[in-house]
Amino acid sequence: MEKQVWDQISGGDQDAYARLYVFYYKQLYNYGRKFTSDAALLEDALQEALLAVWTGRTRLLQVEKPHSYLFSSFRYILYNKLRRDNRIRHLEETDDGEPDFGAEQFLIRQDIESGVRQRLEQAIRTLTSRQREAIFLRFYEGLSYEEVAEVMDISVKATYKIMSRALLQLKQTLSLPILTILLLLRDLA
Amino acid sequence: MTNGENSGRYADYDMPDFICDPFFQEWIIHPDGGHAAFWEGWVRQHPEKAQTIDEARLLLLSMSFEEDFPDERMVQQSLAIVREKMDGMERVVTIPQAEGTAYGPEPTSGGRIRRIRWAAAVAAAVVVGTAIGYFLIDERHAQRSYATQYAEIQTLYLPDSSKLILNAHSSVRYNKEWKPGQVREVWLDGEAYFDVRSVAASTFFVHTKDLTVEVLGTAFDIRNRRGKTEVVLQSGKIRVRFPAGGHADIVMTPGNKLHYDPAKAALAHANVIPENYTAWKDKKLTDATAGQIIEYLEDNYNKTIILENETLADKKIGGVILLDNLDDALFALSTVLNVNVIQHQDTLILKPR
Repeated sequence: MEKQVWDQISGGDQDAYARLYVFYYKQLYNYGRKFTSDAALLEDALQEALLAVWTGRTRLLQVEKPHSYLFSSFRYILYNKLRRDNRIRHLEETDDGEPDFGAEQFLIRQDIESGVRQRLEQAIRTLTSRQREAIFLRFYEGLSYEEVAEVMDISVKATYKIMSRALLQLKQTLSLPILTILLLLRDLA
Repeated sequence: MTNGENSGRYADYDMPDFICDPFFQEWIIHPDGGHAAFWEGWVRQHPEKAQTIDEARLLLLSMSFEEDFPDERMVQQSLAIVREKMDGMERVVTIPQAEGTAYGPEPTSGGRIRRIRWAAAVAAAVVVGTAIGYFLIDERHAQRSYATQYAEIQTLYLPDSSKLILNAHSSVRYNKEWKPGQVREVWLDGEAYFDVRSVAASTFFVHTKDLTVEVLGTAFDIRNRRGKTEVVLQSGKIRVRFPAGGHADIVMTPGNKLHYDPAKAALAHANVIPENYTAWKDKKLTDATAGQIIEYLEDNYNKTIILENETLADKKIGGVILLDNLDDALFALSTVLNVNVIQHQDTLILKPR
């Protein structure tokens, strides 16, 4: 979304807002699905976060990075709803009661040899929810470390720590040099 | 973003250091940005690190995520509900319209929305719907092309992070931006080794002058030299098409070699050891005949090499011939064939002793 669209929205342009809505709805939906399969809850969170862009539009110009700001706002709203929901239903909780970025949402490429893939997927299950989420925000959404920190509401230093711990843990599961395994055993059925 | 500050340290990095390095990560996340030039150049200057870099890239590129996008109908329904809420608010609250614009001073930061290249990651089972119009950014049809000089081998990464090793005196061309759901296409003149990433709903095509390779799998070599085209499949599956007609499509499996000579309308199919045909990536040829080696050297070093005793052309040079530089290769040839190498400008004559 170009800067122009955000500017237009802050000036009250409803068509620009509709374009932004369609664009971000899809992205945030994909992100929200990592934490919950509750369609109604997710829809509520999406509407709330996106409507807030409209209701808060006069303040948009002061937002330096509207993209990560929207992610961060959506996450905040979603997390609150999930926590409230968890207290009632005791669902989808991690040990500390926080919403959980599902391990099954984090995959390894299909064309990686199955033995290697299994080991990597096993390692993914040992990661924390925050580690999986950080990697998603950085490598899938392409956010910078500063933006990931803003979205997850943690320090940049903590973000670096979380990310490298997660990546090293993945690396650790492979005892042989990865390249050798992948080249030797890469056999598509 | 420059990598200047870190580049001194990179020489001491091992694989874990690279995967955790933010600049290295940027290259993976945005393969078409300025980082490509830096890293491709750096690897060229530090070939001893090439394997480490490859391992790091592979680990980072092996990660992917479930993609779960709503269908268009769902999005529009949601928008409709929100629009009603917006109308409801309008009736209650009046937004003061100031004279002129409601804009303040120019915001300091760009607020640029990042292009998401990584969204082309492999999607597995649970996809709720298609992402239509996911990228609402203007089309840019700019192409990128790369050509190698004689005696130059270059590794390139395509917009989807597929790897391409371009052999000497070859060129390749492709659109700068590859959008999800569209075909991925590369035009090749010369020789290249492809290692293609699997991307859902996006076939990968390589076009050479006479034939088009449709990639169903991953690693293969295409050599288009002297009017003939040769394709060797290392792993995966590819379909070869002949756009000018004349031949039915051919599906190849690993170990297949296809040789096509349009001048003679000849199409030959064989089973080979693929590594012998892709060994040039490591700057060596394996189990080639003298004639093949000479042709290879001519194509890649821009020399004319004449074998005075032509019967020697079919002599198999067992084992590995290193191609790192022309002189070494000629020396090896001259020893095995028992010839002297006489040089006259760009022509070399191999004369029996």
